[in-house]
Amino acid sequence: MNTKVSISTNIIFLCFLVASIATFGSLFFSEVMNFVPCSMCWYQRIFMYPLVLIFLANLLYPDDKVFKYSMLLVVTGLAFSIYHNLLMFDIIPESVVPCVSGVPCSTEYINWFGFVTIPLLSLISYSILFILLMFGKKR
Amino acid sequence: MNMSNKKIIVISIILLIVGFVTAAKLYQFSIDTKNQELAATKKGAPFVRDHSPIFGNNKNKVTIVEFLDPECESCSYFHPVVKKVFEEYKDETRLVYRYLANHGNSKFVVKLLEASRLQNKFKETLDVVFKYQEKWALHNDPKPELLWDFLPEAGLDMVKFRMDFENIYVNNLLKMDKDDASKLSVTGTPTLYVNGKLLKKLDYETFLELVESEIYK
Repeated sequence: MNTKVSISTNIIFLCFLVASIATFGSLFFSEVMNFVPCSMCWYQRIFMYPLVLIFLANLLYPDDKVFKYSMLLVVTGLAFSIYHNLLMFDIIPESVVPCVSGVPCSTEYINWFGFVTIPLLSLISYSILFILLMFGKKR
Repeated sequence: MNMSNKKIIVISIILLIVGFVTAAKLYQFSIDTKNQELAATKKGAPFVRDHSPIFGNNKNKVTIVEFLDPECESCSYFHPVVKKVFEEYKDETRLVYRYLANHGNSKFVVKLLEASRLQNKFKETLDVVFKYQEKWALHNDPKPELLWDFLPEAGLDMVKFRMDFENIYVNNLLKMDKDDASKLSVTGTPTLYVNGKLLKKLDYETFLELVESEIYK
């Protein structure tokens, strides 16, 4: 039992770092670079930000149930993220998505190396979290 | 959980926060530097364009640029401050207005403003637009056409004004102003620059200080 928690702690620590970087990164885009987040971005933020605190709480007070709590958030966020990326790659037409603040969800704020967009960064973060958690669960 | 693990967690949290703050400061600094270099060029683009309304004698080479939206409440609120400071220093500085038409009726009002320029009544018209903004720009029920009733107050020749309004074309101008705004990372209104230096806090003292620091430097 002890070893299990110990292995998980390392993975949870990695998860904590990934969630924190995603959180601070998205805040950098909106608060420092003044990009207005579209509604899809907000949904992905909603499920990413609490993960930082959930992972942190687990690091400070470890138990082996953290997968259940975090996985729900990760899977939900991942679903939004996949949907958003399908939008960005024009696989789903834009009109399906309600954009309240007037920023179309297919707006490309950044495009690093010709393919890295903000929704892709979100998808990568959620995928890493998903893989890390699945990997941690097996031990 | 043992002490060394706790240390690692605390250190990583500190690193994340320090990293974020440092990156934010560096980013802001690079934007500020770039903007001041641009403002110091002869034409002053993208801060100043030939089509922009420009006022003042500019003896001390101090350019105040305001990105505004006639339908924006904060612009209306801050308008008297800009006026007051500029009235005091209209010999030393010049004031350049740029549009950032973010609201539903902004374009209509920009057309009015541009038409008023043909009679040299831009300032008076802008005053009237902001003075009655509460009446014509209600959020749930905007009535921009009410402006026609208020505008004679600006001392316009209304017959000529209506004709100019029909014939004026502002799409290109709005697009250029918008492009310049995004070049400068301006997203909201009012956004003010003094010689390329961003006004960080929208209040009278801060604005006056920034303008004076550029005049007396």
